[in-house]
Amino acid sequence: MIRKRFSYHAPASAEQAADLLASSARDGETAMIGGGTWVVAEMTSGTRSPSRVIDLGRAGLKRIDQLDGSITIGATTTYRDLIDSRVIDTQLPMLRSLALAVTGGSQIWNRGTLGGSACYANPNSDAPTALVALRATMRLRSAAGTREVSASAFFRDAYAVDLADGELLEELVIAPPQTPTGYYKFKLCEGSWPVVTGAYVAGEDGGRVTLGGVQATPLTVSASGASDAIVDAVDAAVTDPRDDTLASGQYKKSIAGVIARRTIEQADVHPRRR
Amino acid sequence: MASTVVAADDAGPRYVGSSERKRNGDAFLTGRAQYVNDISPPGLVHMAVLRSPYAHARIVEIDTSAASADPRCLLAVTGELIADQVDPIPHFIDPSAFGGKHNDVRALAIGKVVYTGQPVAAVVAKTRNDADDLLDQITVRWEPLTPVLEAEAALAPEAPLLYEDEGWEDNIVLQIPFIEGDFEQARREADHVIEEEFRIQRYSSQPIETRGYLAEWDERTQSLTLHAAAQNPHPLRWVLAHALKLAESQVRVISPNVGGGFGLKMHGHPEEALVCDLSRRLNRPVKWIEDRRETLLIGAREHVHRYVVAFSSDGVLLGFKDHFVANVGAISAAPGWAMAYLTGLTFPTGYKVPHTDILSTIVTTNKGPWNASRGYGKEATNLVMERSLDLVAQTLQMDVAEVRRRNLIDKSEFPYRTNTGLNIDSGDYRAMIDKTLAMLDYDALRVEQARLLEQGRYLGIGIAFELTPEAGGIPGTFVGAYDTTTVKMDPSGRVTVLTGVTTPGGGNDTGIAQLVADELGVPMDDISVVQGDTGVCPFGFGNYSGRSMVVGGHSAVLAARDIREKLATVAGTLLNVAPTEARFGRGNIAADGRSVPVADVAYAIYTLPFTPGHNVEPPLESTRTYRPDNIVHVPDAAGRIQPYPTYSNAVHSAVVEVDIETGKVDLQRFGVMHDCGVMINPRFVEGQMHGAVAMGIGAALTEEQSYDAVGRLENDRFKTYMIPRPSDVPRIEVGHQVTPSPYTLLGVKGAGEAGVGGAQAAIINAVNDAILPLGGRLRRTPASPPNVLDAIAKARS
Repeated sequence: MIRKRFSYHAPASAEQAADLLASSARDGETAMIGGGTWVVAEMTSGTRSPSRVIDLGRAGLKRIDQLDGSITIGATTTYRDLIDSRVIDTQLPMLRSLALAVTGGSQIWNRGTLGGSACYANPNSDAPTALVALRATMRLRSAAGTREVSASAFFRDAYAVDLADGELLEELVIAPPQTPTGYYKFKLCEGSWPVVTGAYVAGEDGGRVTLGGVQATPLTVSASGASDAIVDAVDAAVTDPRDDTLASGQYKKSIAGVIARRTIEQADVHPRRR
Repeated sequence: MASTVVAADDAGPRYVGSSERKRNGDAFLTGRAQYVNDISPPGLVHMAVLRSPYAHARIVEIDTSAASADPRCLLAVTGELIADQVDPIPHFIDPSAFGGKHNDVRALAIGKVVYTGQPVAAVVAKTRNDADDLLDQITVRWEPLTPVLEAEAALAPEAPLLYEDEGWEDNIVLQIPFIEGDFEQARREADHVIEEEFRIQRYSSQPIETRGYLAEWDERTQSLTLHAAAQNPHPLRWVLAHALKLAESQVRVISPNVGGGFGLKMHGHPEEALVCDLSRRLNRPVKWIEDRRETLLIGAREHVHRYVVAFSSDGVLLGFKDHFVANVGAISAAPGWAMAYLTGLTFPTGYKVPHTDILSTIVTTNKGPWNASRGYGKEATNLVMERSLDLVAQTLQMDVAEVRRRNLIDKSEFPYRTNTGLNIDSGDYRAMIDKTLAMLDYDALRVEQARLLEQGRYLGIGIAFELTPEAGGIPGTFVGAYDTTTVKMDPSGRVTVLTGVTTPGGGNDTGIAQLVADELGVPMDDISVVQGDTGVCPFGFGNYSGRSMVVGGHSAVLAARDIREKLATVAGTLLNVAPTEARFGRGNIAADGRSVPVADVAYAIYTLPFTPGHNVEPPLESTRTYRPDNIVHVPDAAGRIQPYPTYSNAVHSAVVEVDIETGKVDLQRFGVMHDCGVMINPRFVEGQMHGAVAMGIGAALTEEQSYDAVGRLENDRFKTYMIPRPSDVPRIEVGHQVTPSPYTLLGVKGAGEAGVGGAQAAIINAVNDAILPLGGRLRRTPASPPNVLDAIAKARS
């Protein structure tokens, strides 16, 4: 149960949300929630006690639009929305694979949001890896206006993103790759968080693999050269592996190259329906 | 109503041996079944518990004044404050009864804490939210002490001591040897000797329903009612009476439906007495429901085994030595620590080994306390023996099934007296091995394994024999080896069964109803079973050790037979035949081609006591106790007792494929042959086995409670303490062999406890079989990807 009293706000637009955010809370922390699957659980356990919660659930950010060759995904688009979207299925199948593989079953599919997961920036989650691999642009909003930042710059550290005070994530903009892509997830068992994830985007130069979970932020490695070479390339690139409760950094480093190779091998093998 | 004599009926259905469905399953499926948290009497208030953030610390001062001054606070207490009314909690099994050390366990710590999460203060408020919130207003001044977390550290000469009670000159709770023959001589004379150190991780059991208690003190009658998610209501009543300085007659414990127990809900938990005392102080009903984080603080295993196996060139075991150390965490009043005693007692399971040298060293540390968990220590014995047998096979390049055949007790040798004094009732272990190989299509599987290896794929096949002593009792404790049941038939011919065994959700009430229905020849629907209420049930020990059918079922049969005898007597009068000719079935009693409804006979007994009923004594009610044979509680010359009536056995088999690049184990097949003697309801036996195997899979592959350097639990939720999900569990194939026990009334052996250790051992053996071609050997559990990859890497380096 949630111990501490807090004020709850559900703004009707991103602009309203930004205005709310600009008016400082009386005291204590403001928590922004998309689906609430992280923050509400933390509030329940008492590990986090914000005095103000801003719920973006009614801000009109649950949408997927195709425009000028780019796809715009609203910050509160759920995994279920991604799974059900024809646009995602045909244009960004990597995100569909990712959503289908999210651990936690239908409750998490229906509540959890791609944008929320990005802002939480847990290294052991799916979203950061894929967004970096897809070179997503994060569109941020504050009372002063909007700002854009690349996904690779957005993820600054474990649980730390480039959101200034008063800023919120409004939408993600992705130009769909015209080459095969792949997403591979390694976890310890069905109920475990991802330990190492791989996202691949093919290219004439061999493409690139982005690995999540291994270091604090997603790590992108060029996949040029022979397929076995990627194993060594990844091993050399992993310089700061991160320990967590599920696995040591050393273990993750030792399998990172293998996961990269498998990500490439399984590229464009996306489950169509589940 | 006059008895009507009607035409004879066919013999009725026999329920025993039939897979009847759970008798009140619809109430559970439709959400009508009531658990403790569903009970909310008027005026209910809620308790929250402040827990120690330190693994080892002195309490300098606790200040509850700020919390108490908050208008939401109904009561805030500390250990010192409640000590006037709350004595130390009696141990379920006191180590001092075995020659070990005693410590007083308090509901709230006084003076010092010995584990992270130990209760130090409590508050009561109208809502749980408010009670939780008020905890932040309690300030504690701590003097942190050096935590001792590993058994090796706790055994070091200069180790800090956890307990300041008398007699604690070190951190050893108890050390028990089990020695038979001369192991050293066997070792000298053996063709081969192998040694291994094997580490078993800390893990526990996690029922879906956490613990929960609702205490109601009645000032008017000076009596206490505790609704508790508890496995042992009568023994808990005794504990509460002593801890709360009440008479047992002032205490009633009611255990409503329980959402899984597995031993975790055996008593001795501090919150039991605490919630009762706070209800008494406030004269209001007080509830406390455990958080999952709190459940995960409780452990059940953490061992280091160092075993030495001496054997001949033809694979015959000559000697076995295992000096093992169990890290039982802090000592609570719950019976967890004694699991390690039974680990020692159960060696060498179903194998014949002339010379054994077992030493169990039970060590306390600043980790959370253990409580009982399914397998009760015997799962570790089975794992260690099955590892040993595989190592023998590997040394001699002998098949793993063959080496077991050569060492298992032969069916002609039962009853078989083991080295530790156990008397195994019956079995046909070699037939179990043969049936397992047939189930697997073993030879074809080995061919497939070789074929895949050529492709660079690593398939592993593991088998494990499992012996499970069940339905036991420990003298001088409330681990009783008997139980008691009352059977009543009312004038309508309906039956009420009140029994001292309880069900934590496994459904033994259905089995008991089947037994009674058959004895009385009535439909199961005419039988209601009442369990878990000390106010109405006969004194009983509740649920543990796979005992419900052995002692609950059999005592119900004895009581039902008393009723049957009275019914037969009066039916004989009504039908004008000898009582011995009366046959019972389909609600009728028949003889000589005619029959009379059971209900009519019951009505006659109650209403015609001077005519047809004159030669039986009303009411139709009997209370009987069943004490199984085979138990010997008088120590023999070597000091050994024989605490178990029955010994079920099983052979588990697992097929895995190991991903050698990541260490991940894919459990592809699982089978188990099981022999628990005569089965009352095969559906429930299989259901219990499925659950136990799933637990064994978790124990083998994923479950581990790990601590950080200062003694805080790292796995405090199901995302990090990983119990198997449905997709982690393959279809479990179950086969039965029935070898009746000669020591129980109907040949029934215990069921429900078995499965965890056998499943864990089969999987660990399969993983080792898979990585054997790489020279890898896994010497610890769980076989998690990091541990397996590490075992492979060590072989390669």
